[in-house]
Amino acid sequence: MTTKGKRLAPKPSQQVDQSRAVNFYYDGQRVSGLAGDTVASALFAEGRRIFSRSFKYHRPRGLLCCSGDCPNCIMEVDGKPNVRACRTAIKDGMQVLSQHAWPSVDHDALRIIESFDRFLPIGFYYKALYKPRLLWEVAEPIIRRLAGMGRVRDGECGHIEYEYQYEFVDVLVVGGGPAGMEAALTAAEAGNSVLLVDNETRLGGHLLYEARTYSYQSIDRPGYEIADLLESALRAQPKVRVLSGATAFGGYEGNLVPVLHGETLIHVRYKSLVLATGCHQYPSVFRNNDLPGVMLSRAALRLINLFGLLPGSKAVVATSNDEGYFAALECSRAGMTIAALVDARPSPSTLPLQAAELKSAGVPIFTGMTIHEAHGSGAVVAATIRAAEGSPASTERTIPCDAILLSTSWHGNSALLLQLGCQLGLDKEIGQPIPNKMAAGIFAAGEVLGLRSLPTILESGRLSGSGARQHVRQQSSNWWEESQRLLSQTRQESKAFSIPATTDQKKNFVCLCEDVVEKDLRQGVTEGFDEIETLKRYSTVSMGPCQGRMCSRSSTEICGLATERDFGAVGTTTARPPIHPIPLGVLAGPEFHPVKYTSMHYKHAALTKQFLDMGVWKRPEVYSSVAEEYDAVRNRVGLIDVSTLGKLVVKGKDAPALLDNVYTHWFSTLKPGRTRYGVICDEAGIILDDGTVARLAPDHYYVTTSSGNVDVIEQWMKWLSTGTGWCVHVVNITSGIAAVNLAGPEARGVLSKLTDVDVSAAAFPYMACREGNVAGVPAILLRVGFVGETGWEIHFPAEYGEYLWDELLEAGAAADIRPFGVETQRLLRLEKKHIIVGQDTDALANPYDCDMSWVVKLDKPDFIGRYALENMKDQVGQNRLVGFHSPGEGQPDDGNAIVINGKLAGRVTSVRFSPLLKKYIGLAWVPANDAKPGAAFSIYANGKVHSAVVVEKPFYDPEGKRLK
Amino acid sequence: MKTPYRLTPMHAWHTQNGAQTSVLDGWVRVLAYGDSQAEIQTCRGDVGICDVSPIVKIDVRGKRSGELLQQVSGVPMPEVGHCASFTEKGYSKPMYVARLAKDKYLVLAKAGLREQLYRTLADEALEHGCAHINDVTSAYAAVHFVGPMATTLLKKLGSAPIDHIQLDRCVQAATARVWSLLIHHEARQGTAWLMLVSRDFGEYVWESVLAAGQKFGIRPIGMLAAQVITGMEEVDVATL
Repeated sequence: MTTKGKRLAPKPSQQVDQSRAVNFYYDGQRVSGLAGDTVASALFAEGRRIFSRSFKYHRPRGLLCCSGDCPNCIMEVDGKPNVRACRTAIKDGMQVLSQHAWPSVDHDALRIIESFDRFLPIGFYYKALYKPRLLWEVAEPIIRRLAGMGRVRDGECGHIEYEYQYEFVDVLVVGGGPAGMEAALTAAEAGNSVLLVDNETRLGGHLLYEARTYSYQSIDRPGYEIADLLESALRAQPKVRVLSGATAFGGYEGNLVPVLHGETLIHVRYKSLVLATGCHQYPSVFRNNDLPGVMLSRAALRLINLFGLLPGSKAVVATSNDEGYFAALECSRAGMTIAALVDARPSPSTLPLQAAELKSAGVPIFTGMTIHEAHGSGAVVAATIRAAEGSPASTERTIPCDAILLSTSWHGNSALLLQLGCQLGLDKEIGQPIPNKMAAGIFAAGEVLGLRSLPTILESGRLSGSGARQHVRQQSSNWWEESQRLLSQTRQESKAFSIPATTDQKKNFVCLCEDVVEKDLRQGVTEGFDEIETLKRYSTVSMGPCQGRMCSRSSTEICGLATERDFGAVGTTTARPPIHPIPLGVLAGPEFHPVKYTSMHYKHAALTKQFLDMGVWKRPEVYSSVAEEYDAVRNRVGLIDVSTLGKLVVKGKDAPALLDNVYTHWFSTLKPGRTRYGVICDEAGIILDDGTVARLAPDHYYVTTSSGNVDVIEQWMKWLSTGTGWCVHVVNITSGIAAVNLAGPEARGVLSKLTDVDVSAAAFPYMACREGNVAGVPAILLRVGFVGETGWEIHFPAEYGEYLWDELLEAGAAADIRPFGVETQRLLRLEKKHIIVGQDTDALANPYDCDMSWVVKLDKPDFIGRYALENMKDQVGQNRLVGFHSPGEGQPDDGNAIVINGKLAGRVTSVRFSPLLKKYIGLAWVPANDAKPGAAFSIYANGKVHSAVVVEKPFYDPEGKRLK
Repeated sequence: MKTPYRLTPMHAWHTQNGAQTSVLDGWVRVLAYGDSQAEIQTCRGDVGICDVSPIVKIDVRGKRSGELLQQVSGVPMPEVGHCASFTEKGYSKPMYVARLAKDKYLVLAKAGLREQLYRTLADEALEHGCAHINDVTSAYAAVHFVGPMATTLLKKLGSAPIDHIQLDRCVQAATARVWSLLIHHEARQGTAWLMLVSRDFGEYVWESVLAAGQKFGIRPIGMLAAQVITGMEEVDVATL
């Protein structure tokens, strides 16, 4: 629906430049607006009155708030869905599309859905389409196509990468209205760094669009002029930085408030926070209160004073406070006909001068009356009013009009206060919930505090700024007591009047986002959802894009009326961040995806493309084939990069005591030059990690951990040494030390070519360690056998990685050495029944259940987990980790279920095909009663059942002869 | 037997991006990426980053670590979070000390002093009981940020309160979502930053810094440009 209007004469408050046109496109049609216009104001100027269609019933919706609070002007702008047209400045060539309507927003065929509203009750999804089951399968795609807000056009709106920025300030002020600006100025006086954040592009708050005059600095000035004066003073203060057009959308612990500014998310940390977030109007609940033409009075003032547009030609102004009189006056002075001013208060206004001016302009004032119904199909054509109390039906009268301006209900923008731990209570005299308990370091000012007159608002700004300033200095202040004094003044100046609830009518909209009507809420209460939090979830009220700004209060009041409780007893729903809609890309943030490369990575990359992501590490999975690599290690020699192993240096005269305390095994008895396998348990005896510990000197140990656990183990050791008075220090050198495992029957021959260390079996036996040079590189050599062959782990400074890798391969060329990957290593270790902590163990695994009792040394006086392990020693655990083999023809996989007597009994943790045994081998958790060698069980894999048998000893070289 | 050579974690990136290299103290170092004059101009107007991973990093910790370092340097140690240069002070070998905690220090020095400095400190530690020396040179990649946009770039990369870190101060914070140690120090032409990160993350952080710095006109610089800009004989913070 369009009715082209003309602009009012230019005046200082207007943000549009009437001499400069800006052209953009709306649904493919060229639209000419003015520089400074928003999409909404430009379209309104072009005569558009229907801006969107409602979520469920596809009812026409027009401009309501013009401040980004309601969902009525959501559109697609340059490919981005769900953009609020009233907050988006027009640009030349901008492409704007209506959304959620077919074929057009003016003539939406889907409006027919409203005809079936009796079949769409509250809780529709819980009540319908579940029988027969097929019904949902059919209905779901249709519902999904019809519902939803906007469409994500993948790839069409371009890739936006949001940036993060971090700011640290003494005082953060949220809100750039008069209270916020005064607070910022006052807080900065003592030299504090102040950041003021405001979501408007210009500072001034409600003053920007008010032509009414206030006495400021002893001179009567219009609101917008005072806003300019305040902003000038603020800009002249060097310690204040202003971020306008920025949205503070949450309050988090650690004094953190995230602020979205353009495409940058700024993490602001403050010492003191002043919230001067103002308040917003919301529509009262009456029949057809969603029709285009029903508008909040502040929205009307924005259109008139910022954009030079009249919201209509003939308006009914409904109010329950003094603000309605000022709004009616400004509209009247701008050229609108005020058909009636309807004041719900039984006693007339406290503004006799304004009332008199209205009356002299021929405006009838109806006191004790309120709006009952808006008439019209696509737009308002009349309003029915009637008595607010008593016997209303007999007092009804209908007044023709094309706009209904509402100044009936106010609500503080208090979501941040709540998130930051402040408490609110309803002040019935002021008519809105206001803070009654503030958290430390948080200050409030202005309308959010319940104040209404400009002098009290400005004074509250100064008080909160002063309080914030003193809090930075860790001094107390009397801002709260003084603020209460201002509130008392406000209560005496202007008492609020609560409009009684309407009757149980059909199209009394409460939630404009989700098309929830009053009747729905009452029905929800009847069905037992009588707590506001459950009613919210059942009805979806307040869960739409406005996040309850338009409906939270009304829904609470209706819930209270339906359950005969007052506002305080009903409570409020939780306002979680983000309090304003933000793109998901903001939360995703910059594209930082940490990745770790070993120092030999590019040597691997030259040989294979198959890498595994193991945490943040990249590891070669396989170079040629598992069979070839397996053959090399078992019969010749293989080389694997094991740099990802955690590596810790533990030094100090009390290092043995620390390790004895941390590990279940003895390490004070370990001789220098020797290495020992160790397991770390927690206090409950659960395995945390395993690895080797090499003693390089009496007070110097070199510890390896599993790749993913090194940080945890480092912290664990540091934690356990804290407060002991021990001389011991743990240094994590994982990234500084590269490591390779040279393994196979020919490993000794290859290594001896490169090192000055005697690697003979006699001089360098199994589980020994030595320091020496390998190819000229200083290294620690550990004689270990994870893969079950004679082998050495060579640990050396990481910067030599590529050099030493090449040297080892060159030295092994004659023995046909092969690099082998993680997959081959997994098979090799499985043949030895070596576990991998985290894969073969879980959060309940202890050494006894894993058949590793030999690592628990209960002869030690104490160690972490000793008490629990001592108790476990003689108990039979519920499950055991066992080795098994299976001739299965299918391919059992890690994680497959184990079935015994037809019941789920356990799971496979690791399984691979053994080239040696020509069958599958693995490790599995089975019930203790079924863990005896030779016991049979079944593996359920890929829809088939495979038989398996428990095996006690390692599958390969059970005596460990090859390791020697 | 061949002579072992040392590579920084960013070496592959350097070679893939046209670096001219030379071996110094066993390390393969970047001289320039083509036009060292352009690199100098970048550092004067925007921001340049230089791979200085070879600088020596010695971890000194323990109750008596401060005493040990004071003995070696001849002057008192700085407060926690502060750094100090001892180039022209008591100790004959230049070194730069960052105090990370009450009993934890990181000593930085020129690459060529690695073994000598470690040996000196280790020998001295024998006299000081609870003071432990670990050579962690290999554990950290080091990147030098030079130029007027360096501070702005670092603010974009991580959560450190960059504006509040004064000269000769250090802070441990996340940069590009990984742990880093940032040291703010003086250079010949303004201030500069040294960033240490875990070596394994070196290439990732290097690429992240370059990507984030695109809008600030960032470019990598080699030793030739860095010598001119920072006024050092060799690229490290030891002689700042």
